[in-house]
Amino acid sequence: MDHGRRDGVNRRAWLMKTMRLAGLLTGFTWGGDARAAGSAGWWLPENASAHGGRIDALFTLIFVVTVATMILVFAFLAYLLVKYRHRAGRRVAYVHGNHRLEVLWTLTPAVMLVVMGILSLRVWADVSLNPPDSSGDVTEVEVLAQQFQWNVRYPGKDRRFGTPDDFYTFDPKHEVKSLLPNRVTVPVGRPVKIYLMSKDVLHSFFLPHMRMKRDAVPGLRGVIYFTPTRTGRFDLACAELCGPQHYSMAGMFEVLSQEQYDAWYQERLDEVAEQIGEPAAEEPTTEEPASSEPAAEEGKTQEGKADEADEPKQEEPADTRPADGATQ
Amino acid sequence: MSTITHPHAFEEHGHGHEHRQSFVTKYIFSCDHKQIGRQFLFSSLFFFIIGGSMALAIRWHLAYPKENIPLGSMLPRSMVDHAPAAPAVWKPGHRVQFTSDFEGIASGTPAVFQKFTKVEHPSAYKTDPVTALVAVNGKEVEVPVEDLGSREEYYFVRDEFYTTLFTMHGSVMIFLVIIPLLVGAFGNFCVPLQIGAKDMAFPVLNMISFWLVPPAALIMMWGTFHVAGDGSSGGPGSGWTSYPPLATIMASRTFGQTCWLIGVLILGTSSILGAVNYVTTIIKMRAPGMGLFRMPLTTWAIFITSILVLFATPVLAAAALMQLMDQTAGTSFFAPKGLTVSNEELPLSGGGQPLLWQHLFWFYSHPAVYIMILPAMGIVSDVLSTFARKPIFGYRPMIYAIAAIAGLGFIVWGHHMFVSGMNPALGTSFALATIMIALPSAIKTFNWLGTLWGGNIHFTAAMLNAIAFVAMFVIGGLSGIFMAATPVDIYIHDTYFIVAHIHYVLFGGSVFGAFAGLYYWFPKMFGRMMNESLGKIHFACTFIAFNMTFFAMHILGMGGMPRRYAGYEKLPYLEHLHPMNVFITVGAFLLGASQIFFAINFFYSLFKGPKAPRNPWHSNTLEWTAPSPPGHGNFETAPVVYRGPYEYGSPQVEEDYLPQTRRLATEHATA
Repeated sequence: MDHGRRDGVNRRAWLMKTMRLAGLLTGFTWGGDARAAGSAGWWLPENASAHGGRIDALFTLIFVVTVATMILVFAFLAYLLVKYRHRAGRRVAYVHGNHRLEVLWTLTPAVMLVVMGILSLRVWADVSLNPPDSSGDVTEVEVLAQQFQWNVRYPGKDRRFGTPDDFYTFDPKHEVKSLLPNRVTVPVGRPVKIYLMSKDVLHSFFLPHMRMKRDAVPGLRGVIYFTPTRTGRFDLACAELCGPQHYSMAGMFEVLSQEQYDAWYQERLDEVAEQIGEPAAEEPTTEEPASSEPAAEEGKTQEGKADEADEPKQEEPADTRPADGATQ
Repeated sequence: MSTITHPHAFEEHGHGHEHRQSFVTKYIFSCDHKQIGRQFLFSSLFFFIIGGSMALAIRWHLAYPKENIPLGSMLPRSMVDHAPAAPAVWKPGHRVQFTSDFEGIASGTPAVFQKFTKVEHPSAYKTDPVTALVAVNGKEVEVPVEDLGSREEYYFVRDEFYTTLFTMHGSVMIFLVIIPLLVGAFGNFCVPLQIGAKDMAFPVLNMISFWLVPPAALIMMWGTFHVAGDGSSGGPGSGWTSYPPLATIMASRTFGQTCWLIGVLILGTSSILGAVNYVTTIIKMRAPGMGLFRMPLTTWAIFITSILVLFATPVLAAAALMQLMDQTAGTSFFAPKGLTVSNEELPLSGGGQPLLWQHLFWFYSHPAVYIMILPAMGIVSDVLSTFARKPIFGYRPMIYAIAAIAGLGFIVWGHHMFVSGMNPALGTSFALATIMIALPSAIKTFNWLGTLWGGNIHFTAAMLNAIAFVAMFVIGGLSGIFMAATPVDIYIHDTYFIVAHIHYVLFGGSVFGAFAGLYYWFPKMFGRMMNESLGKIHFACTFIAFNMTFFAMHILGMGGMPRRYAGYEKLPYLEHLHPMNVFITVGAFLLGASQIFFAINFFYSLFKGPKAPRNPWHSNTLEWTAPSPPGHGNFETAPVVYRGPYEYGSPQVEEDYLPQTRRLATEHATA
């Protein structure tokens, strides 16, 4: 490190780093980082989903059990190392094993692990195996990942994907683009069902605060579901290597109150109605059939327009995520 | 049968040192298992340096993304780029339209643009702005504009090369360091000696298995430093797991990705040849009296590992061939139809399935994790027993545990795929199998502790490393339970928690085990003693720096930091982890520096170390009855085995050890 060649920015940055490092080493503080001083410091980021509490509880349970085990084992190891350190003339215990002990230290962890396994499989079943029906108050969103962007589509008024009243950041067949990429907006307190697809390579839709992650696999249409419990703007990250700019595939998961969401949703509906020339006030009783594309063919037709979706006519810019959003 | 040297052939052939050998057949294309073991050792240590340097570059980039990387100016422009000095971007008096964070990265503008998030509008002042808000390491800091103006250009790792770095770090460490070191070096050196054989069953095959490594390594390295058509790094960039379709798409951009695959194929072949040899040697060439249950645990571990290799590696080879066809012959085993990149549909016949690769790959690579840890477990068992001067606790349970780990290792691969998009119901069965595999690991750990209990522990460098192995394996094993719990894995999958876990197993486990083995067998390998004090210093520094580096990664993972990220400034929830990243980088550099002690010790002892006696540690196993180093043919007289390998502290004799070959008045050679 050549400090002499460093300019002011670097010197300051270095100083900051050193200070934080000192804080870290002493284990007290994060060097004045107010945001991190809260619960997010050395633990999981704050949970914002209904099932997340159960995952956190399981995590905490395993954490307590494993740390306790680790401390016990290390204490015992340290005791052995001190007690039985080399002394001239010490006669060692000439033993080759002990079957009772073997049984004991097989069964004890076995029982603990079985309990943990049963607990975790119950949660797993609820979190992964039982998606809610699409009817009712479920918010459905389709996410089409591509290098290095998340495209989003809502089914629109008729609650069916692939119809002209969808609003989205992608679709070759329709010119209607009403959304920004990299932003998913949902209401709070209601189940969200997200369909995951990919245009090119594997991506992974990771919502740390929602405790949710699933790969978007090209050729498959996966589904994840959860219920956000807090409003705010949360981070969306890609967790499966998708290319050199993998890290830059960040997005925003926006959870609005029901009123805000309804307003936002209506705005989108109006925009779409305007663009496809259909009065927004019409009731969706007509139930017109999907515009003839079976869902299976969507994968290969979603080319062409996605990158142009970057210039939306939206009132707020994409990068104004306030600091108080996700990690408060 | 005729090709196999029968153990009784000792008498017919006489002593090996009468063999006349040229320099080439003795040192280069040697068929002697000891020389091949040493060759594996040297090549592994060489690649250890390469893989380690890559890790340091990765760590530097994560902690100091906007600072000159050491030696950056000497690296080719395909790997590093330089951000121009600040005046080129911003001049006092000029109003600069700053690009937003996202566009800055997406359009590939130099990273320095991303630094300037905001400069106070000049019109607010009569004169030029005096301060600017600048993002430094994800925090906005107010700095005088003069400081901006005086910024010098700096070199940073390009995103493309960053992906190559972590891809090759993993690949080099796994395929060119740990597997060749544990299986190739220790397996080759120890197995024939420990079972009392003159050499391996197939010496020429053995030579070929080593000499497949250099071409494979050359191809992989050539791929690493390949330059793509657009002038950026063309190295392999889809991780050591090489998931398609990314790998296939990368391969269409650069030949480096295909080089990686060819290298892995060749290395897999080398592994299979070695494994055939170990299994045959152990089954057919044991000395009289050396029953299977009188073999040292190192040999047992290599035996079971070789069986794993024989079952698992062909699957990798098949999968790699399929991916090679996808990359070069236009098949699409692993890609569905209609993939579009940059709005162009790829010319694929389609019908493939990306998850198929993951299943095939992990069907090999999960057992491969055990291929990388089981030999270390065997080595550590030998070392612990020797220096505790006490029989290994539960010899047979230890063997059964190794076998159980190996067997269960074949039905747990899906735990790498809980959130991969495979049917989540499948995750349930894989989770149960994964939980079961914790049991044999626990059995082994408790047996090691039992071995120490009541012993007379000599803290040699080898012993310290072996004890560290046990301790670190405990952490690595316990952190695995988090992943086995499927709901928790949803959150920690593909985060640094996984990175921490694998390094606790593969560095804390395998590498400490390898160091234990090296300090232990160095006298036998090279006929000279290593310096114990330097060894202990090396151990202490490595142990501390290792834990600094990798324990902290658990915390990154709990914070949700995804792995394989070249930067995390776009994710505000990770901002507070920056000091931790700096801390880890400091630890990593200390860890790298600690190895200097080892290098000095290794090379000094190689040439100047004191001459090693035949049995410096007063061990029981057969290799210590041969000269140090053993000559061609290993033993002066054919060894006959009378007992198990761990008779330390036996009341039958005065000394605290009772070698396997020593005949007491009442004994017979039958196993």
